[in-house]
Amino acid sequence: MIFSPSKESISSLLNLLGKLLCLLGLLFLVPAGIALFLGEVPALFDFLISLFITETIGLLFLLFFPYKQDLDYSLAFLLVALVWLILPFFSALPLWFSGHFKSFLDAFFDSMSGFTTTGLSLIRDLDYLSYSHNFFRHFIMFLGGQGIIIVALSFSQKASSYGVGLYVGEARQERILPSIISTSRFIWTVTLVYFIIGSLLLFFLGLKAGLPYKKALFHGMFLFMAGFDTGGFTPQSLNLGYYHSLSLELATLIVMLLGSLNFNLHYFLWRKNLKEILKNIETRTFFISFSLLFIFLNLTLVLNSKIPLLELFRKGLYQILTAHTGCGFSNLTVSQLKSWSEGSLVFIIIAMALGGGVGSTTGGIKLMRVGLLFKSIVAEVKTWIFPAQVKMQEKYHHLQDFLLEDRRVKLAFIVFFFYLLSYLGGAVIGVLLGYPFLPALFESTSASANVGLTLGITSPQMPVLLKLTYIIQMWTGRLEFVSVIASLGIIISLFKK
Amino acid sequence: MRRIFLLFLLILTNMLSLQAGEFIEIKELLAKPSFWDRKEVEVKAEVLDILRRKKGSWINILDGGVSLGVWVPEEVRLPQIIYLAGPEEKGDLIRIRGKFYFNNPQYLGQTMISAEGISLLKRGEKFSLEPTLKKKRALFLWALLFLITGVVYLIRNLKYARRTSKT
Repeated sequence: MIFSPSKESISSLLNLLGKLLCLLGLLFLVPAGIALFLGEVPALFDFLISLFITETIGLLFLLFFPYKQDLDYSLAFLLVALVWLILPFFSALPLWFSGHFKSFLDAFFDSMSGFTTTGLSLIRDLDYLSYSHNFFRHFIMFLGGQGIIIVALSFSQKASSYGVGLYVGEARQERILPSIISTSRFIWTVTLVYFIIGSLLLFFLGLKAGLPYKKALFHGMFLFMAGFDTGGFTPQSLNLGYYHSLSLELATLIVMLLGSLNFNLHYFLWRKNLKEILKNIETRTFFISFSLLFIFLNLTLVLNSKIPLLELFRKGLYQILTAHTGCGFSNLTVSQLKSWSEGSLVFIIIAMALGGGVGSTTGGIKLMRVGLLFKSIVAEVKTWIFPAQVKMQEKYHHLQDFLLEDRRVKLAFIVFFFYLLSYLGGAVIGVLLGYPFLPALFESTSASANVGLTLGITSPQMPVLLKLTYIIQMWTGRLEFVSVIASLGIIISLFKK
Repeated sequence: MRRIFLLFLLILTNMLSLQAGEFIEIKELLAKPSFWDRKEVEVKAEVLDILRRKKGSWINILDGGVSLGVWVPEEVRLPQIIYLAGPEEKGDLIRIRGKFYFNNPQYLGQTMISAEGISLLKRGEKFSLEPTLKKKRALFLWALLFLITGVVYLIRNLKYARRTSKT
């Protein structure tokens, strides 16, 4: 039996969508304020026009679709899927008005890339972009990384019955505190404290690198927002190479590592409970996968070119971490990355595909699932080795000890399968459009796992079909397929009615 | 005699080729990095930024939407740069002569030019920061629409509030 929603609940869903549009409209005031402060008048106009358009449409939703009843769990998934399409659509407006995009689709691509913390970009003349527009690109990355729903729930005073559905629909499986609202607020508190410390650190390093005060201040904020939310947008086209600073590169590594941690682990970190971090299945999986990939990548680099040790460490460490955490910052030019051997690129692809912690801002399959699948393989192999009489029960630790149940492994495998399908599907479309397989797979994995590293395929000149493919991959990848598939089921049921 | 003639011919063709393709685009350097690696090049580009360090400066340059870092040691004279390419200004146009490195081991493998000479070609300028008439009209129109929708929404909510307070 397929669940089919009533007209009343659809009306409530559209009403909530209207409220979120009104909230987005209000958020345009932040970059508009910056534009006003810096005297960037054309940019101020872009944000005000976008604000009025978004507020008007939001109010029309509220007028025509009254809130009649609470959403049920399944409809919350549809709302999440729609929110993650419609909010990037409206956020594309100020980007499009800036005149830095070839088409509205390109602006929408960047907006989706920002919200999903991917970092792939189709912008032209990034180095000429105004500070307020640049702030907005990083700001949507920050909002998207935290979760749009988390933003909305933080403003909410009372918990609704569908709040859990919204929270889970946004690919967050775990609560840190007893209620969803207190969890949302904890996530924001952690983020804001890190934001102040991280931005200040990057500001001082920017000054040390030789940037003037204004640029150092804004770039400090931008790099923190894109790094902590593992987004990967940068304010200049040279990426991190703009600063020619090793200390700044190292600082961004720390920021992206913190961003890739599960927010539950931040809670333990804040409570100085380091034992949990050392025992946790996610941190252990990360340590193993990172070490292996780092060693293999460096081996392929050494075998293919005579590279000094420090340079090898700088390039290898940064690329593996930026790919594994899903950040997408790079201290290499696209040409340098393209010059790497196929073997090296394969290890980067694997790191991107795996991703960071569950309940963090990263994308990809995620460490918890990788750890569970690995443990289940080990458990299976043990049953082959040991006699049938020996009963073994595999355990794992994540905040507490859990038995390795088939149900959890099955769920991990389903998500793993969908990601694999998405990575390969995008690559096949790339190949059909004339790109070689490995770069097409690299780009597809980068889009689907919300990483943002590129081998140069992503550009304003790429075919429209590929732009659409990457937009869908970024969207479904960020929501871990669950909300999108549930929504498809609901939409089919509406037609069958 | 034949050797002298050949040498003369070689020098002449080299000079001609240098004159014909005097400036190399950054895009070209990055498209064929192994060909240009460690070769003397001359580029013409806008100045994006100057990052001053102890023994020289890093200049980030922009040419045809592609940017690159240039290391300028303190012994190389840097012309006075006033305008930097960005949202408010078109940067000063400079000519850079130097050696292109695809992976410079001295600077942890950065792709860069190590400058040997820099001169100013054209002074940059300030951009006009006036919004277009189209934007002004769009702002007026959407502000008006927002106002009307907002008033209608408020009236409806007030009516609803009165009705519920009576009951």
